[in-house]
Amino acid sequence: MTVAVSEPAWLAGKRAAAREVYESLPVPTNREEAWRYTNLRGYDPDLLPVEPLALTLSGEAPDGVRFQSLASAVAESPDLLERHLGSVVADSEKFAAANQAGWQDGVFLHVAPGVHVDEPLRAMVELAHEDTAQLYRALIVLEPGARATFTEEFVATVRGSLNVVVELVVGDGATLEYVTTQRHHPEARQFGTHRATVGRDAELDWVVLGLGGTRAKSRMESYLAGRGANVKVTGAYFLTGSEHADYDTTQEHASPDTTSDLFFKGVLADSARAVWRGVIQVDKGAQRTDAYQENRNLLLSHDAHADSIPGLEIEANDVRCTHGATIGQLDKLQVFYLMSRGLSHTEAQRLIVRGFFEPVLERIASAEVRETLASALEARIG
Amino acid sequence: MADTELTQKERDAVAIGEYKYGFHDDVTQPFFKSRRGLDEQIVREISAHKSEPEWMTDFRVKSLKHYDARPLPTWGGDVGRIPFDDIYYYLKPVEEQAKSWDDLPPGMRETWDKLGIPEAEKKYLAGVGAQYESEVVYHNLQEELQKQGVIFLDMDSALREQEELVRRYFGTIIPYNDNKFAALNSAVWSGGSFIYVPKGVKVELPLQAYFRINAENMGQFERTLIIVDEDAYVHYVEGCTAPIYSTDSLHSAVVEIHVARGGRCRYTTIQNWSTNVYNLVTKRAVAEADATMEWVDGNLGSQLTMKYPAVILNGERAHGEVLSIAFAGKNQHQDAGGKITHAAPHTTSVITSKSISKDGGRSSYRGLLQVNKGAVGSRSKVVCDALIIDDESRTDTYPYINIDENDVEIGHEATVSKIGEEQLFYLMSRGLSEEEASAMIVSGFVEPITKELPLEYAVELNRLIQLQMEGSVG
Repeated sequence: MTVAVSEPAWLAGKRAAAREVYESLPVPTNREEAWRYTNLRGYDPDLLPVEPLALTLSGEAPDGVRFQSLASAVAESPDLLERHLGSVVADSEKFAAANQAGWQDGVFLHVAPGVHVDEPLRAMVELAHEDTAQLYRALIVLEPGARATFTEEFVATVRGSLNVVVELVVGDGATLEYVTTQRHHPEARQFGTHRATVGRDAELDWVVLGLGGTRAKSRMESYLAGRGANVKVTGAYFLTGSEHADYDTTQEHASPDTTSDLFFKGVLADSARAVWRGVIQVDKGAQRTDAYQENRNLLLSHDAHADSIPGLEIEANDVRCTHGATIGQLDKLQVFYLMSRGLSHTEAQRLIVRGFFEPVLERIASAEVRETLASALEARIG
Repeated sequence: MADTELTQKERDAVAIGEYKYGFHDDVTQPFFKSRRGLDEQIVREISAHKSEPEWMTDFRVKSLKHYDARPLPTWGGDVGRIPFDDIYYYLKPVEEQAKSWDDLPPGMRETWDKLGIPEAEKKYLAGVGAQYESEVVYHNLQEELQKQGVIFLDMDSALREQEELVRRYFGTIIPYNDNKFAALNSAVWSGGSFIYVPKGVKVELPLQAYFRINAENMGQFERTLIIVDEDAYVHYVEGCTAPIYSTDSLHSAVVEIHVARGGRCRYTTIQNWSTNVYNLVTKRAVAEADATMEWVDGNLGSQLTMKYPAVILNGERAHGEVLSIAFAGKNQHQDAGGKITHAAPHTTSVITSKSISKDGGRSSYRGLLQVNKGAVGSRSKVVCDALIIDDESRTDTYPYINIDENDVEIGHEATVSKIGEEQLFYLMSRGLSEEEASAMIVSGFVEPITKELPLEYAVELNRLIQLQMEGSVG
């Protein structure tokens, strides 16, 4: 991991501290609860050569909005960066520490108080050189009353490794729509920590799409910090072959009158495996919390495998917390019905898979995001 | 006269919201007591006292080695403060088991009377085993059942009288190295029940075992093995209490159950240890084709309970059920739940968990639902409901679900709620006090469990809940 020499002292300090943490932590094994179902055996994060981040930004940034590469923001917005960088995602985990120690570039988005950005702002990262690694870091700050849509897409066309850290600061009364998608080669790995701090009466609408990839883990965490904060997380994944995805989601309610609603749905074909571990945490005093989480898996083959681990940790009494998990197969009656109407088995299966994802798509507010997601899924359904 | 006095004492206990079973017998002197702490010498001493066959002595020593080598679990509750070195691992209260309650020493007899066991035996039980510290001091089975070939013995007697049967099953469902506390039990086990129900025999009235810890710093490690043969049925009920001391005691049992083709076993526990007892128990059953295994597991007492009754559905169409109720009050952590493994096609299971947290207590549901490859057409449903009475308390839900087969239907749902203000208002408008109304709502909340209990236990459970709910509304 090489780092530009011209960095300010505060950043160099953060990196040095993170490097120390990184080096003190072993590569996680199955013996750790969080990695129980995702085995990293044979993977050494220090082995792959790190390449410069292949990043493309697009979208119009109107007045009051800074949308630029994170590296350029170090020079141009030093105060904001110093204040927020590392304030949301702690460096205490192996891969998050690696990111802080070694990130070269990424995204900085800052929206001034009350400013609304209508068009989505986009970032795309592409990993195209076999057996290389890239590190990406994003810092998204919406000041009070601001509104924006940020979408990021990670595409690995070859075997390799991506390390991702995304910090989302949603100020009081702000609204953020955040879309993060992975479209990966079956042997690409993405290790990620995405975490949001959501302020008073602020809203976060978070969409996750996972296609492809193998054993790694994405942590998706919402911290509902201010009273009246509201978070909606919608996830969809479709894995084939021997692909393997692992999601850790957290909905932490730290203030009263907060609402969160998480819904992850996945389709698994062949010998694919998905792990979803979700926890709702309600801190002491976070009364009148309303939290929901649900994971549904559709298994298309005898060899597909799903692990679903919902969890609740509740320390307030005036709450409503509910979760559900189901795992099922193609409904034979549905297939039979469709085939009796002249569809082939493959066509019937496609139709049922489409129907399975429909409730996920319906949750997405913006038509553009919905359509992008729908067509990505459609391409996968084939 | 004595009865009236007892009732008055009970009333007083209820009135001040006390643990009713906190008394102890300080008259009866134990026949033998090992020194505090645990090493190989003590393990061999226990085995020698029981004149065990060599294979059992070897099993104990092997288990101790595994126990010593294995670290304490880091999940679940806090087991780091258990005073392992201060505990008495074996305490033999009397020289010989009694066939009549009257043959017991007076102090001990009084304890059983206070707990109501001899009375219950007369009224509605087919057989009773009563364990005091490390040994079963009283044991009896209705003659009629003996004639039908039912065997109901304490585990030590079974090892002497039914060695081959014991040897065939002992430690096969829960191996000695299953977990830290199963290893401990395997090393120092004493007492517990052995039941064999022959083919086609249905034991209509429950068999009951009662476990009483009396001494301070006591470790109780009973071992139970139940074999229900083809198309047979048995309902086994256990209760447990202990005195209140300022020091901690440890209860760590192992329960293994084998239900053969078409058989059915129901195992009901009403655990009401005092809050200085650590209760760390491993319970597992194997159900063969068309067999049914049901765990009804009530956890009201103890400081910390870690217990997840398990069923391995080993034959086609086997059915497993876990009904779990936990009540965590002040200074209590109930880490309870259930585990089901679907290992054969068309097997079905239901886990229903109800927990209540109050006065800073913590109740956790921890469960595992596993569907092995090939267990096609399996269906399972897991429902967890938690009720939190006040804002000092905590509840957790950790339902693990591992599915290796696609031709299955699996559902899980969990809710956490508080006592509804509308429900309270309605009941209070009908003239109930807030306290009465809360107790009634809680009783309604656990009703799916209590309706599965024999009537006497349902009454007892409701009484305990009312007791626990006293003074809960400020």
